[in-house]
Amino acid sequence: MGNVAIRAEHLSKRYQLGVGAVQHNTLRDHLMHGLRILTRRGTTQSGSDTLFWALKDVSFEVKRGEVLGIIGHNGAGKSTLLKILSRITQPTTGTADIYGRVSSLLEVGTGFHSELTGRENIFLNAAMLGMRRQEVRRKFDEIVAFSGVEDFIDTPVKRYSSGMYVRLAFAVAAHLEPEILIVDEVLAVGDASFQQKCLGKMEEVSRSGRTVLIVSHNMTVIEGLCERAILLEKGQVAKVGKTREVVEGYADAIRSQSGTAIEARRDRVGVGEILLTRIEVLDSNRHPVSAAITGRDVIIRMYYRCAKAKEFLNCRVSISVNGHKGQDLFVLSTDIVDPTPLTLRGEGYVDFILPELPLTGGAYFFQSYLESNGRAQDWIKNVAPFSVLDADYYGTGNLCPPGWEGNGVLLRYRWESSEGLPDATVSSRAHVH
Amino acid sequence: MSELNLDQEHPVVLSHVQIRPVKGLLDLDLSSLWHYRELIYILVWRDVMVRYKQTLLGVAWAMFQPIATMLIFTVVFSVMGKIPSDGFPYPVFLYAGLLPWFYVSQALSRGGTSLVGEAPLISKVYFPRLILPLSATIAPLIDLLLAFVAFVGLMAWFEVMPTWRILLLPLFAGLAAMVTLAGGLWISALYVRYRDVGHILPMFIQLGMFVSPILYPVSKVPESWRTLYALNPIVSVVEGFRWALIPGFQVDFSMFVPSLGIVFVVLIGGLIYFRSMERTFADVI
Repeated sequence: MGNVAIRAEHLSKRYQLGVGAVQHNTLRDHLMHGLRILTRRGTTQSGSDTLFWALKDVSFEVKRGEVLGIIGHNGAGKSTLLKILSRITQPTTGTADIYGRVSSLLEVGTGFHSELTGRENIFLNAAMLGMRRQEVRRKFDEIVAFSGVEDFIDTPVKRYSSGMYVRLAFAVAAHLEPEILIVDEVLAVGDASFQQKCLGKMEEVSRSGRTVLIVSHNMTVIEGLCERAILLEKGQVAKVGKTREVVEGYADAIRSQSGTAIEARRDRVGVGEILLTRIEVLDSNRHPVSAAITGRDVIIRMYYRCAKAKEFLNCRVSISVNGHKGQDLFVLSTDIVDPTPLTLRGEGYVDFILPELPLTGGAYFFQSYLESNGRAQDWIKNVAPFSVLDADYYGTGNLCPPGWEGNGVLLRYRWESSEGLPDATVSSRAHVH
Repeated sequence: MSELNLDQEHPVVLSHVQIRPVKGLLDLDLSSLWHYRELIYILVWRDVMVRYKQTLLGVAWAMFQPIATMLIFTVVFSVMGKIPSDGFPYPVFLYAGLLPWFYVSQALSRGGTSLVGEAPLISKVYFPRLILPLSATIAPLIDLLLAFVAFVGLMAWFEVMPTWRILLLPLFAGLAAMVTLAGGLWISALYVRYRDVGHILPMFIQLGMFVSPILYPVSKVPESWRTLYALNPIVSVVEGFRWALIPGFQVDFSMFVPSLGIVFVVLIGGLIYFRSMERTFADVI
């Protein structure tokens, strides 16, 4: 037993959805509900309170010093699982035994107060994450140095740029030293170089013999950090084992899920007054095709439908392409190529016309995003698969090198070669005496 | 795993927590509060800091506010309304009542909204939720202390010399904290569930001022109503403050018995109710 850090046994969590949960937030609703039950005693309305199992019978074990990845779609129960293990919410049934001091990082900058300075927020945030004041004092300089906001440490964080804010917040979290660390998708913040720094820190943490549980949509991160992973699907453990195998299982699951009709998708985020209804891939003759071809012109058509009799101003329609491991490859967005305000009403579609599709052959995924006046209307991850058939992009008769299928953006470039060393090296050598 | 494990180097007994559905009512677990005492301290500190940040007068507001209120009320209720004050200078009499009242009203409204106001915290970090209403009850004690400093000045102005009774003031301040914590526990937990509380609370607090002897002496309350009146624990708090601060002030201590009983019942009930609701806060909030 001595080497177990976490043992979860038959964890389940039930939430109430629909009428029962949403509208019972005022006293009147409770009274009305009670009244309704009394008056309609014959026709019981048990269907109005939909029970939803966010987690169902989840069991697993994490050894001490192990780095375990948890993957799955939005709504698969990942966050619920982390919340239960962090004691934020309690399971409906089942138990979890945790051996060791836990710190969980479900959000960067939890408890940051905008009126307080960077220095004050470090102490505040650290206390909330369970760090002792003495410990913070000891690591203070290190934290500040890591964040790179030394010059603004006595400025209220409300004057920080969002990048600085996130860097400071992550710096505090990165200096936690618990026995068990639980992390939820926090690496997806900040600019690329800071992300790299965070990733490095995470690797350091995992090498130091700490137990780490990490949730991420980024398969590259999961594969890089974890030896073992769990795939959650609809609240249940769909697969557990070596990271590589589990990640492959996830890719399969994405494929089958993105096959379902977009209108029926429930894992969407946003106001929902404008909805994406369909995505089509067309060839240059505007004929729908099941797969695009590398190097040929292709049209991606996004159908939308707006809530009745309403006009939506300053819209943004965007679609991004993800590689088979979930990594973002590129984004197409109406506003960045043409700043003319886009107004949407009724039904319609937007065509993105891409000349000479610069993707290697393989299986990709679309991620769609609609917004109006800066408000997210409809955002769906892995909304549909996008198959690309490999073809000779450069007109050389060669295809992409093995390992890059479904994974590579092709660029126009050329190369040169020459014998001997360039002149610069010769002259720099001349400086050395 | 070739890297050495920190804990193998220094073998320590790892803490063990079992997470399971808890349904009992009497699992108060107050020891966890001690474990998280630093968080209580830092939340109190934050509340005090944030309150006076970016204000010109800073903490002077904690004195200015009750003094200004005292002046206005003295004009309205004493000069114009001719409300008696048992023979003591009305400003002193009034301020000695406003002192605990400012604390109680502030701590109640801050404590009552402490959970909903910190919803992001509740859904993202674990700590005993009791800390939130508790620290919201403690933080306004700092303002009380500052307002008390202003009172000392007022006493000097009216040449009122305090007696040994002033040493018992912390006792009544403690009673005030108990009263507000008892209320804060109920209100904050109910607020998570019923947002109606947000509308009721300010009205409730306003009403509280008139059913407590802040503006008028208890002697103005008809004898037959006194028993009912004394059930309001704020009456004891205010009378206690006046007794400790104003030399020669007479208090009928038998009035304290029912209100102390009520505070005790409401506080224990509040703890139990809070604890039983606590488990679903993160799901409901």
